[in-house]
Amino acid sequence: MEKYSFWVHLLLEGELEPSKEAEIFEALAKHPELREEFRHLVLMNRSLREQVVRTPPPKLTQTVFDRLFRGKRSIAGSLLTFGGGVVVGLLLSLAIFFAGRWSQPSHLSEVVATPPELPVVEFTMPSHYQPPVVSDTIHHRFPVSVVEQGREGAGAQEVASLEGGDWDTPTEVNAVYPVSVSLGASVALGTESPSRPSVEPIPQRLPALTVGNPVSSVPWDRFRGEYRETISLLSNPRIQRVTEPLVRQFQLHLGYQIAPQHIVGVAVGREPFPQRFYLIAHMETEEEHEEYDVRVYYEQMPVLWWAGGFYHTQWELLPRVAPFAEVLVGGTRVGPLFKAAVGTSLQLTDNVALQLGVEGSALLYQVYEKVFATQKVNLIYGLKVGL
Amino acid sequence: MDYSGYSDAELFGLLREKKSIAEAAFAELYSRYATRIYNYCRTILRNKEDAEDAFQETFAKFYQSAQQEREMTNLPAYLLRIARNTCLNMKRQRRQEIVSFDEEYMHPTRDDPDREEMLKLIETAVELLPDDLREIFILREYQGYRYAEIAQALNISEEAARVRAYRARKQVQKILAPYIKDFAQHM
Repeated sequence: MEKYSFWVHLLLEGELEPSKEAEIFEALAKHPELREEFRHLVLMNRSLREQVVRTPPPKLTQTVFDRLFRGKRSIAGSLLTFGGGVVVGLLLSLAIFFAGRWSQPSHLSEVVATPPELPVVEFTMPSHYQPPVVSDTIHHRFPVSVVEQGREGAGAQEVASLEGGDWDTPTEVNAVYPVSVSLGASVALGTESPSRPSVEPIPQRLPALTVGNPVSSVPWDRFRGEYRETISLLSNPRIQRVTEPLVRQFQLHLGYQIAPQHIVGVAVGREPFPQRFYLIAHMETEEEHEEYDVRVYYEQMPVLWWAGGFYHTQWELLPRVAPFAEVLVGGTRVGPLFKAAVGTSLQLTDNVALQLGVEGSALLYQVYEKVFATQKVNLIYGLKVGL
Repeated sequence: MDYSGYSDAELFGLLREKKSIAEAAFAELYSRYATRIYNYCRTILRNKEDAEDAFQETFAKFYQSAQQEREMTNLPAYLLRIARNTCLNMKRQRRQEIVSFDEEYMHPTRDDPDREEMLKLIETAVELLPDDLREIFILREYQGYRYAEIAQALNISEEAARVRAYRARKQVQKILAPYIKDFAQHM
């Protein structure tokens, strides 16, 4: 009987196997209590079917969508997030900036084995002491101590002593400014000095960039493009005698959204990097043949192309305003480059966002056997576009 | 964009896309399941404000969980499981509080006073059921979930869900036996 009772329930739910239907109908005809149960169930089902179906109120629906996709607008909150992003960015950039100071001699007084009276010294610098070309386009490169003699060069500059002395800004010998003709098209248009010294090639350190294999079903809407410009705020070394070249500093990013808040991609850019490096020269006075070493300092402000891979993450804490953080590892012709940036992006439309932030850069470069570093803090601003 | 032709699994996958696409996909899923979930929350929690809180929370958790890669085989059951956990947590938290029952729930307006009374009786009987039977009765009879969905949401076999629903109905029938006889004569 229990079996048939169960079957009656299944029958009313339309879930009884067809092979059992004949048997249940036979049982219903035979047992009045089963028929009564069947009637009661029909009555219950009918009542339940007529229960009021409540739909979510429109206000509740709106609340759900606002919470998930728009949130509540708060100007104070937006400003707070923006300010927080900038402050964190500054701190991070300063940390990068100061972390690398150890690698830069800060002053000419660090010269080793300085002779008692140097100004009278005249010597010919051996060819291998010539400063290597370490940039695509050299701006204002000149040695800042000792004498280079017997060598014509855009960067050659005679000075009176290793420390102090009168300095002439050598604008007449290397006033080479690359010209940036249009937004995003500032390729190295600058001409190099005709008397550029002999070049000792620096090994290429830029790692090969790998891009994913193209497949037929590429999710194009996950790609993000970004154009940024940068303004130098701080640098180490600070080069007093070299004017920063008037070039458009820009970056192009192409990213792929691997998850809603995470983007990886490749980037290229171009910007000047202040460089200050030295070489140790072995000297000998002519009259007394006294031997000594001297550290020869060079300063220059090359404009370098760089490329690298980046990881970008952002948090959509508030509507349209999303703080972001980014790290980049890449390289230039002269050495590896590391960048970290934080800032805030302001979503203008679904596909377009403005970005503002700060970034810290550290560039390592090698001159002969020595490795030097340069650090910069840039203000960045740009436009991000989703495909 | 019209996503009505998309399957649940496809729409679930689109929730990881950019915001405009995700919102459209979410809207389609919402239109399919919001009413069910809303009624479930109202039935379980009995209080409109609590039910609306639980409803919001359910869809928020659902959307967050969709941001992680996962395969979706039975979306209504998955959504129901989230709603169930949310409602149970809420009930647990408010067990000590005095809960005001929703007047609309207790006294829904219907044209037929006999049927209205019958429904009230069923609701009363359902309240007397043990938790596991009450839950399955609500899901099956009030919400209209399929056994496969119930089984997945409650983490039991489909057969167990069927048997449990049968037991729940039998108990309700027993509780209401004297009334049903009377009603059967009038209806």
